[in-house]
Amino acid sequence: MQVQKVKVENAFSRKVRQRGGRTKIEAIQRADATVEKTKPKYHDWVAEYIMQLDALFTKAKSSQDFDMRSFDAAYLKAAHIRTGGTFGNEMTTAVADRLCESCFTG
Amino acid sequence: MAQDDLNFSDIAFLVVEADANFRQLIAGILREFGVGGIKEAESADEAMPFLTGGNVDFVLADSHLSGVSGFELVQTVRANPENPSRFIPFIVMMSHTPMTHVMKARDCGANIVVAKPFSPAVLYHRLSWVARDERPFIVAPRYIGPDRRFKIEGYPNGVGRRAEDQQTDVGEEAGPAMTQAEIDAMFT
Repeated sequence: MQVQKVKVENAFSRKVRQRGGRTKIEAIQRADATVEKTKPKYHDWVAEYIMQLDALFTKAKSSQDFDMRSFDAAYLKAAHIRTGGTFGNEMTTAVADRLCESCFTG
Repeated sequence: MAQDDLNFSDIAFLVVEADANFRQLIAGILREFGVGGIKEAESADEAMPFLTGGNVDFVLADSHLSGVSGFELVQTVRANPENPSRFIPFIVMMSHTPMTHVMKARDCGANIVVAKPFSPAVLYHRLSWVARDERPFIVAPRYIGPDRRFKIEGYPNGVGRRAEDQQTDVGEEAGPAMTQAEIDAMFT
């Protein structure tokens, strides 16, 4: 197989340049409002994620052998907690960063 | 219509994200951007029928999915000449951004990476970037995706210009996780 340089049609690019739709400012403002509306739910999500994370760590630690699956699931869960920054919860993101690091490095 | 404005009404997005809460949030953000069609998938397996069906214009895929990863999803779609979605844009979303993961994202054929958590404004800017991205695709035995061998002076016209956008040197790894600006430098 040879290396080919292919000029592809970016249909996305063509379509988004069509007239109409929301302005950038309006689109972002509306999306920000949606994020704001979802904020209160995030606290419930985090509580649920932390409980699941705790159970996964307990399972991983109690296993005789290195439990890669539980560590992987814990990493994924920590990654979900990290999304708190979207809601302005920068501290949650920072804490989840450290959790991701510890899962990542085993 | 201003240069920065994008009309998403005719665009079909596919959001591939394991976390149902965040997946729905992204779908909500896209809806407010005015996106016409939003499909959701929890895993790469769930995403594949949408992609082989050819009715998707853009994919936002998380890197860390259960089973097949987001990186592998991009590679699989790009590698199949029969797949109608082979050359569509992919943004890979990453929660944890060590350099090894960001390099994986670049080398899997994704158009760009967005680091989680992100705001609607950041997502909009990345979509603008892809809309103005005119790189050709490279089809090679070990890589299929947008040409990685290019340097530009910041974003294409009208997209989120900041002071650091002018920097063209890729810095050394500064720590375990990379910032969005560092990730952007690797892709541009």
